[in-house]
Amino acid sequence: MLNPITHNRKNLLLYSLIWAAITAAHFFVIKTFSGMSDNFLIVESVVQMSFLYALGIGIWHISLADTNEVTYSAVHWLRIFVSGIAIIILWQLIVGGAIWLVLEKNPDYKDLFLLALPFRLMFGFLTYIILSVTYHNLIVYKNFNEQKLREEKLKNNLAQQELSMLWSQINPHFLFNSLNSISALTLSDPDKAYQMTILLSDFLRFSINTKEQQMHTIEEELQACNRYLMIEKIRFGDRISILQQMPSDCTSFLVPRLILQPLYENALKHGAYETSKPCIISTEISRNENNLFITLINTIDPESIQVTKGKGLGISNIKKRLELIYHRHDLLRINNTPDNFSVSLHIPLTQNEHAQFAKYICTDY
Amino acid sequence: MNMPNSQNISVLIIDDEPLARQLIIRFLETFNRITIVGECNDGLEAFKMIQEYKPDLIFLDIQMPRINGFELLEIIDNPPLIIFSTAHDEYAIKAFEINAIDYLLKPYTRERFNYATNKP
Repeated sequence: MLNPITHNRKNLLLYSLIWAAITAAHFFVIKTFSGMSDNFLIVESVVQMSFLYALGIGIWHISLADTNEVTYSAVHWLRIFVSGIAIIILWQLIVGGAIWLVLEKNPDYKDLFLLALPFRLMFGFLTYIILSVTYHNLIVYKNFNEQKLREEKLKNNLAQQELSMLWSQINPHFLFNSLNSISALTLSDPDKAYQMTILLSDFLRFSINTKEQQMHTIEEELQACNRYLMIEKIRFGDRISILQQMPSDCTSFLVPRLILQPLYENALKHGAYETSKPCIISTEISRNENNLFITLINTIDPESIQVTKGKGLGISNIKKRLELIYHRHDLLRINNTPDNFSVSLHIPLTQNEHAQFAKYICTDY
Repeated sequence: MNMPNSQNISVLIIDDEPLARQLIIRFLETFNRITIVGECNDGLEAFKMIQEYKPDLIFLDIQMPRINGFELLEIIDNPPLIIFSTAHDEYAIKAFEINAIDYLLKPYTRERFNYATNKP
């Protein structure tokens, strides 16, 4: 963040004017207590106040050092308090000492200096604290705004993702082909047609519903994906095999909604649609205390000539979403071999999960 | 290219979805003059079967493994009559340009299918 005083002409002018007024007031006050010449008192006022003028600009950079913290702790405030006292005492020692030396120890100035000292210390300290608090609030406000902006961006991206998934990826190919399969099944196997209609409806409802919360459990995510995969299995039959492995301690881990579905779609696109050979899509899930690891592996036909066509739009969307949600760039990895294509996701535990857990306890007990 | 109505018509069905092929076969059951010579689930297989059986008419999907519908048409010398059967509506003009006899958009009705199949 840039210094709000030195990087804004209007602020700098206002800040300078305030200090000019304070300097003038300072001059008139000490004039009533001291019989020294006006010229000397003006110089004294300017020297004294210039220090505080510069200090006021400098404090910004001290405040900025802790810009990542949303709220300051008591220790932080104590640090500001103590360093404020030290700086203000130093101010009086240096400025007072310098003038004392230049004037060759004028006893009149000594009297004035000692008389003004408690007031100057108080005024200097007050200035220091007021500016620290102002800067702190400014930084917190700015951080808060930035956070809000990021959340806004995230929301937009999610809505776009869900919309584009539904309209540019499901529609028309997946949707109409599925409907065509249903129409074939109504004649040959009505029970299966019935089953597929339900699967398709459930999957579409889940995809369309953008009002739902952003995060859900990996179990719910897999359920949604499996509806999609079952539809594709009905369409392509024995060409697709699905293997999924999830230890029971992973089931409640929270993941972003629809984070896996585009990856399955991608796996089918490159593993099943472009080859007549059987395609195996396996999913391995594991976790440690704070992280969930998901790996999707699909076989690819090395003879297929279309493997490289249009690769990765779904994957780059997922990567972008993970960056926006977790502020990390290393959560998605791709591993490509001639026979296999694998995508690994690393999902960190979110604060949200604690909140979710708390909510769960409140509603159930 | 027109075929006399009395003559028997050999048909090849090209679609990568078994259910889509099954539907076409079912719809064709009512056509006495039509003989199905085979079905295939990708363009390359279709290429070989067209060379081998020289069908009069093909039902052709566009999105298929390895070689898609249009790529297939580019590599065969004497293309048979073509009825497209696809979920994509954006290739209709291209289909018209290569003189396909019809363009069926999935899912289609039996009436629409019969109308297309009665053309040759």
